[in-house]
Amino acid sequence: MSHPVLAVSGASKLIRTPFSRKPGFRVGPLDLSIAKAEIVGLIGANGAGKTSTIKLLLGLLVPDHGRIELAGALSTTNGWRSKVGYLPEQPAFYDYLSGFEFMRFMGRLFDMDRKGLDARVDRLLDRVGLFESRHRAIRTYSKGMLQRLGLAQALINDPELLIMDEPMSGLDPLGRRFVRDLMMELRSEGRSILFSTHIIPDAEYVCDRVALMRGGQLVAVGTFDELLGIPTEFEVVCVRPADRAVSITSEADKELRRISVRVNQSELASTIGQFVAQGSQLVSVSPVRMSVEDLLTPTKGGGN
Amino acid sequence: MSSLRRLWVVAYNTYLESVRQRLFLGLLFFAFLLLATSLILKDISVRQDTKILQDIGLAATEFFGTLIAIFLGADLIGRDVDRRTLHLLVVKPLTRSAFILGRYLGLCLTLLTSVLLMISGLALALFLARGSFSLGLAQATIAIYMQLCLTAAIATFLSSTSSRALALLGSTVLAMLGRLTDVLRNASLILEGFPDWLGRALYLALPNLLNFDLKTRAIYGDAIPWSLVAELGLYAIAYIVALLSLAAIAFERRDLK
Repeated sequence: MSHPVLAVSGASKLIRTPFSRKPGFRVGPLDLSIAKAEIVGLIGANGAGKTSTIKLLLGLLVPDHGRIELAGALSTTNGWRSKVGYLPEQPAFYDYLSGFEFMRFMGRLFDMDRKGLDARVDRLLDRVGLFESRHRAIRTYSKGMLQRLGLAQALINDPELLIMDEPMSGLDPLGRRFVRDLMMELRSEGRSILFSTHIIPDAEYVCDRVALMRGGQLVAVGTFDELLGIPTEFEVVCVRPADRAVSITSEADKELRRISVRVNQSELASTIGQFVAQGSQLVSVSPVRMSVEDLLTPTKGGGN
Repeated sequence: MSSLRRLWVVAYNTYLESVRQRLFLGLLFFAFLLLATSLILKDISVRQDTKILQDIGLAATEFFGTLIAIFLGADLIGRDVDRRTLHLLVVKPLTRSAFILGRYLGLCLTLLTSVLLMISGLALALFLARGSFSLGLAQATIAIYMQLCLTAAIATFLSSTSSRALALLGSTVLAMLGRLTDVLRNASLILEGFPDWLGRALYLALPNLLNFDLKTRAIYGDAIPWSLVAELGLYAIAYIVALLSLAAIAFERRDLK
């Protein structure tokens, strides 16, 4: 396996409010690694410590203990800064600038030459759908446009590793789809992505692996199949023809046109065959297994 | 070299902020008022009109400049922390120290433009009143600008180490105390029970902003040696370097929530 793009070992931080007697909130110790061209989702409920974890990785919060390596450089050095992109949750911009000016400002922090930079800014703004609005003041942008600008600035330095905090939060379904598709494209370009979310279907759609967080701790890391188990049972849903019954259904289901049955792996093919042969229209076949929500609930599969 | 370019990028952005927020329009209005005053004074006063103009012009430049240094300086770092615009910057190849220095330099550039605008108004007003802009006035203006940069450094230091409200309050108090350091040194003679050591300590620790006041000498035509201006420059630079270094040390390990 090649060198991980992100390697975290034993990183932790006690976050306390100054002059408060409250004990504070401890994040970590965290152990996590991300390979090249891998998308890892940091999943947890609100307050689970996802944002704090991301800030810890990027040095916005100074870790008490542990070792963090980003793009082959220790987080305590500056070597990673030109290879990592970051999208904060609800990013804030200098709103007196236009989208183009802000992007150019960000690019010049990477010491890019002006001519090449302007072309790159145009390309990125086009990629996120802001090309037409690039000379408008940021203060006139909608929430979705701000999120797109945040994505564009995170890509200005052609990063190896992209870290995003709730990149889909507050977006409409089209916006969420856009972000998901962009993430898949970025992975196909060889970039690695760590992003936090509490929207599980989004994570299921794009993630190679997920890291589940609860109470500032990583409670499990793995693929969905590893965490939820390989499904052995499936739910088959179909719609039967209006003029006849389907032999596989029970008496109680005969009045319903929409039929769902649970079958095990060995019966799956024959059940679908039977439905189709009797003129039913297949709607869906879904694995039946524990949900991610179950894993995040302490009393269920989440351990700890 | 690339570090210097990044400093300039941050400084220029800070300056641009002042331009876009139309700060200089207010100062242009001030310069216009000064011109109007010169026309009125020309008719109502005899021989004193240029002295009054110089007095008003320099005092107003110092006063408005101090307001700009305090209000913009106290917000300089704190607002980026509170609004989290800083989060996007400090994960890029820009150290926190460079961010503070760049923001500070941008504020100094804003102050320079402000002083030049107001002093240009004064020069034009003097021209209309048939007076002249003397070398002494130029030296007094340089001293005012150095004082403003020092005040801005105090505000920047407080802005990077405390909340915005505290930074504003602290900068205002320090800018006032900085003009009262002689009084503080002798406070034990005036105020019963005021410890002599405290007065001396405050006198030594606080920047003496009164040193930068060359207005009266300039207006009454006293010669101001360039060595004095240079001394003031060194004094200001020493304080500014100390304040920004302390700000950078404190800010480097500050958690950004």
